[in-house]
Amino acid sequence: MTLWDRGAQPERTALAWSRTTLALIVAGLLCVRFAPTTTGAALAGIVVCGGASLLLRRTRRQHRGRGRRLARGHGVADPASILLATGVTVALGLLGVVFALS
Amino acid sequence: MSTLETPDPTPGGRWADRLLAEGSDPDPRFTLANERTFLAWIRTALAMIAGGIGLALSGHLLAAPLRSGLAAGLAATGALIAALAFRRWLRTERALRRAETLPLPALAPVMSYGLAIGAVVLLVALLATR
Repeated sequence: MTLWDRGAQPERTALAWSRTTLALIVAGLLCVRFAPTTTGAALAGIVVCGGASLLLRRTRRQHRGRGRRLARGHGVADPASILLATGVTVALGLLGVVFALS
Repeated sequence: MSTLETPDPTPGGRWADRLLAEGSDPDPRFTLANERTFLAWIRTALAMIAGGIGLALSGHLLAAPLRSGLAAGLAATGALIAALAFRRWLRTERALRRAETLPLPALAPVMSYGLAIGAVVLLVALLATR
């Protein structure tokens, strides 16, 4: 019997996405709490919820899609989720800078 | 591979075609390891951003201008690390596809020095304002 998921890499990667999404939500909630104005808080909330929900959605699709792609020997890179994660984090950082300086 | 079998659309879709056109698919374990490393850096960046915000919320621990300056600095460094993490991911993925030497790690020194400088500044500020 061959183990198709030796090392459980796809599973570990999916878990890594979950951990990252969680860290994102926590950081975002801090931004919402700390926002000096209500519009700032709303912006931070939107960024966080949007980013987090998109990432969660991608994680589910990824995990299933990856299993199939691995079994068929295709590549498994997912630049779209990577870009999304980068964008949301940079946006959160910039929001943090604006909040800290106002 | 059967002719009736249609490949799954890439999870990355058009972005994979745009960013990772050169070379061929590497061993998927390396792609996934690269991705997990990127995510670890993102979590680090998020921790710095949260640290900056925590510092800004710390009341009168420090004088106000120094406090907001450091908080802004930490948040900005977090954003910078996130951007650099993406660059690292892209360069590594491309190197894997082209079977080249992996790029040198520049991100770790940047973060280490930034963090060390921030910690020393904080320490000096705390001691000076006791």
